Amino acid sequence: MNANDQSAVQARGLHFAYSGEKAIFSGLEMDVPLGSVYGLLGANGIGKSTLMKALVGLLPLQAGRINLLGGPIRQKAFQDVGLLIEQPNIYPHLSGVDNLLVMATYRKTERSRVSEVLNLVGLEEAGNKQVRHYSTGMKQRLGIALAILHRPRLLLLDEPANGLDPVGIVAIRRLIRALNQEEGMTILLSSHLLSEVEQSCTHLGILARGRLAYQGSLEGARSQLSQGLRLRLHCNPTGPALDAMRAAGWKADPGENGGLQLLLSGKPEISQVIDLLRGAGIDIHELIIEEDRLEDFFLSLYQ
Amino acid sequence: MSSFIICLKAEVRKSRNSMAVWLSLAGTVANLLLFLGLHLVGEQVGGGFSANSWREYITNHYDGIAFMMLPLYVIILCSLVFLMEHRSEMWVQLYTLAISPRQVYLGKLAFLFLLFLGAHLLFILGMLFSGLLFGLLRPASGLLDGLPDLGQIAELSARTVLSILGLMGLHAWLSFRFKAFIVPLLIGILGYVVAGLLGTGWYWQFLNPYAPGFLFMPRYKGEAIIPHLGWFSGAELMSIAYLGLFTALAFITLKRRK
Repeated sequence: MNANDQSAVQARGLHFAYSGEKAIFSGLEMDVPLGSVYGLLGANGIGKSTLMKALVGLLPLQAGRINLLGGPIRQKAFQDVGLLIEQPNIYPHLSGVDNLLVMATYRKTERSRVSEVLNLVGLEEAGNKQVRHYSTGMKQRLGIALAILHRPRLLLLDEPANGLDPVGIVAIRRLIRALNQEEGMTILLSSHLLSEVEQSCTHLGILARGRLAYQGSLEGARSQLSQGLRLRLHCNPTGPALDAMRAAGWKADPGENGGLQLLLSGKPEISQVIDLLRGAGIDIHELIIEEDRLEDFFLSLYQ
Repeated sequence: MSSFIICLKAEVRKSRNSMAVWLSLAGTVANLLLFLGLHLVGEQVGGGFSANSWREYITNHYDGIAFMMLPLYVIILCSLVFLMEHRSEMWVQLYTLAISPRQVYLGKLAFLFLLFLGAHLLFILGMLFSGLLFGLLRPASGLLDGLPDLGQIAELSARTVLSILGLMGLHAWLSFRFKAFIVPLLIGILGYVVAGLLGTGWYWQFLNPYAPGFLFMPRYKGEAIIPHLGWFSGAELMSIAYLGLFTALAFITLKRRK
């Protein structure tokens, strides 16, 4: 089995720029493994939606090649692709059920699936209401229902948590996991929220400066983090505490709100710091231990 | 089921509660009421219709719609049907179906045509019903003394349908091409005004895609001479040709837009 067979989405050397503008991505390579939940992470306006549109052939690439589910983009392949890009595409004059029935007609999906997906996204009671009376979150849920209606093998969700309340966000997170684990869908979702990606995804792609600055499993990203600790301290007096720590060879600096911060190589050093300060007659008022986080990794790719 | 039938079925489904359907129903009923009113006051008030036979009554109705209602109805109808897709960027979904976007477009065109036919059928039935009502209210009109000429209705209906095909093709394309509802509407009004200014006297008017609506009644009544091929007038033949031409242009736009 070659790499192409194992990828739900494979992009090679993608280059795209809007007419007369700077390239949004250039030489971009992407591999979304089959069966994964792949989080496309990037700052607002960096081109996540543009990339998603390009991946399904909705934008004319200046260069590059894309394979969807093992083959080049062809109209027939869309039978296995569901998407929600930028905004839910729905007819406001129709009810939720009618919107789903229209799409079920196009997708040749059985009618019984309509109530099934309405239940899945928690819209069973609002199904017969006109969509123009839906809240933003309800429209987003309907958009997801439309995308999964035909049981696609590949699902593209652009910022699926947009407009959802905390309960809705948790529900969609669970739905994404269930679709992936129970229905075997490969899911490519974009988000600017690292926490969202961390909780939902198995794989991660970080879009920065027109390329995927990191691409791989979430575990792989975590393994790239340094094993160090950051200690934040509030003590009295501060000046002698700083001098004592520096004299002992630790890299200490003044921190926020008159506090101190220092980097340690591991947890055993914490008690050594406490012993040193207490031995010097310095009172410790507050001590916060911070481990290196995925967020720092994300930020490091942007710097 | 063929892709085309699927697309047409989806169009019918999405038309529920739509402005296009309401326009077709309300517009047709309003027209019929207006014409009945004009016939009832016709002899008393200048500008109204007078009818002393079914033939005259039917001709008056087609005269009434052909001049302005028909082209404007087609222009607005096309804009409304495509506005449904533009409003929520539905093209993103329609382009990513397992069905060719051309089939989706043809389904839309067929739906426009069916909606027009439906409205026209309603117009004919309403016209016959209002004719009976007029006959009851004005016994001197003689409408209760005879039957309407179905041949006349069939000919006028066929010519009406043939006449609007080109305009429908043009405005379906324009309404797809321009997302802003107002653009195809303004182009349509401009085209209609230009066709009106050129009038029926200009020999080449039959080449104008906005003109067939102006031409088929004057030709029917023998007031205008238009080149023809057998039963078909030049304007009707051009209308069919324009439908093909503008549908081809729409296919090119579909490809480019994607």
